[in-house]
Amino acid sequence: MTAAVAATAAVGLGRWFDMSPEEIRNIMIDAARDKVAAPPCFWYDVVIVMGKTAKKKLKTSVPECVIGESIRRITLGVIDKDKPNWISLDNVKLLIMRYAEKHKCKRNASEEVAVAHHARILSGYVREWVRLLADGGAAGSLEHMTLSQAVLASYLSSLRYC
Amino acid sequence: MSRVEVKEVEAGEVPVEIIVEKVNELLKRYELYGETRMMNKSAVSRLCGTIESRRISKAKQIEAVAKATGRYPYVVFAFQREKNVLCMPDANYYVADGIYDVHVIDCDGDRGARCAEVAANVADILGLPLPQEALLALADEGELCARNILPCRKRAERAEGQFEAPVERKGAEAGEEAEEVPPVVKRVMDTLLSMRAAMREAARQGQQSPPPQTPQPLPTQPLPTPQPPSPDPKGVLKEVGLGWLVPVLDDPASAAAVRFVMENREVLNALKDEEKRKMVVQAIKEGGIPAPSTLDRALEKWSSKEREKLLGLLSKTRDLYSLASALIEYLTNNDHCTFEAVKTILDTAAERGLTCEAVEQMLSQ
Repeated sequence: MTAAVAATAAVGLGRWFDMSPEEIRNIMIDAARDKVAAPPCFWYDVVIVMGKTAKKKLKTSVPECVIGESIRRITLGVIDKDKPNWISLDNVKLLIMRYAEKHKCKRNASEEVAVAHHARILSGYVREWVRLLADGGAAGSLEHMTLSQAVLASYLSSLRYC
Repeated sequence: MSRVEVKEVEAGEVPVEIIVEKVNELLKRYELYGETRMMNKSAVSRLCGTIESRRISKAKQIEAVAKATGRYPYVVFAFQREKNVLCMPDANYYVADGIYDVHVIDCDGDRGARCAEVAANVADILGLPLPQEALLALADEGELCARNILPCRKRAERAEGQFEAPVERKGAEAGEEAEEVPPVVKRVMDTLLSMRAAMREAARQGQQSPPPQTPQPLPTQPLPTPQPPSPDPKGVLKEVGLGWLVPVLDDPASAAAVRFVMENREVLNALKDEEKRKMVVQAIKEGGIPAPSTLDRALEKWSSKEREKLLGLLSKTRDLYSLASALIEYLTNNDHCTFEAVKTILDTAAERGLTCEAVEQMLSQ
């Protein structure tokens, strides 16, 4: 009884929680599909809340496709497609923090810990891109988790997770 | 902090000697006082508690003293606060007969924390374990924390403790409010709210513009049969922006609940009144159908229409189960999600221009 549980969870937590978990998920998916404009820091925040925090506080998990979309947008926000040089995607946490810095997203120590923790999960997505794009070393190196920024930007621009 | 003086008198078999005179000096320094009693093992045990021989092995240092001297010349601190006595070393180490130099210290009033400090230091010197519970028998946690005897609880834990009372007082809502919401969750929710507002605004604008378009397709595509506008209820829900409602259609229990509320909306609205609710819950809990006359009397506050509807419901044996299950779930707070969910669904549907009849029709398919 998804909607029932969702609505119960939405009751009584003040203005933030007048949305049902189902609605939260749908808005996230809509944002990932560009049906509604989301501020850049939203994607950084999604990385922080994904997992237990979302389940506990938002009473819903962050949809998997939204997580993929977050790391896609974060990576796209960090890389410079005009630069021909390769970028190391080995440290996903660093990537996310660079994005947060670039967009001046609010952050604190505990949130950075969450980012570090979730970066390990998100590195799965990044590894997948590198595996696809490294192409025998022409555009990147799987061993060193590096990719040509232009190739990566082109690929990520066409990629949609939701 | 001054400690009981421990002095090595001989290297080898007698590693430790406690100088008893220092005890009084120590107590004086802490402005503590008591009486010194010479006791045998059984008297000490009576004061300090029973002996658990299995724990003796922990007192290696004391055992060494006892073995070396052969006379068990113990010094025992008995910190006494009202009926609680904390002995240091505790009774587990009174291993043999002998004369014990027992300092019974008065720890009443504000002396409790000082006693706890001396006890902690003695335990430290003798290398003995000192459980927190024993210290808490002498002084409050706050005092022990202030004297660095016990580690201070984290602020958050303390805050939780402070919230316990309001939670009990105000119930579940207060509990939820007391729950800390991390800033990132607030940020996400704020963003989602603003996005929702933007989406609604866009939908409103979209709804305003289509009316001129809707009349156009009607003459061009006249439907031969007066069937519902869309054969797929899920499609309709998605079209009107209620896509999130689709899972309800897949769940027979939810769909049944929606139907129940659709049919009995007035009754359920009337049941929001606490007094009215109590009576109905009582009637349902007791089992069977309450006599209409008694029920009617109890329902004086109800409007005649509501009363009629409720009585009609209760008189239908076939519907009693669904009524009872739905109402009990809602009214006894065991799981009122059904009602809340259904209410949310209906409110949202009404807000978005979907009529109750349409929802009911979808659910009945």
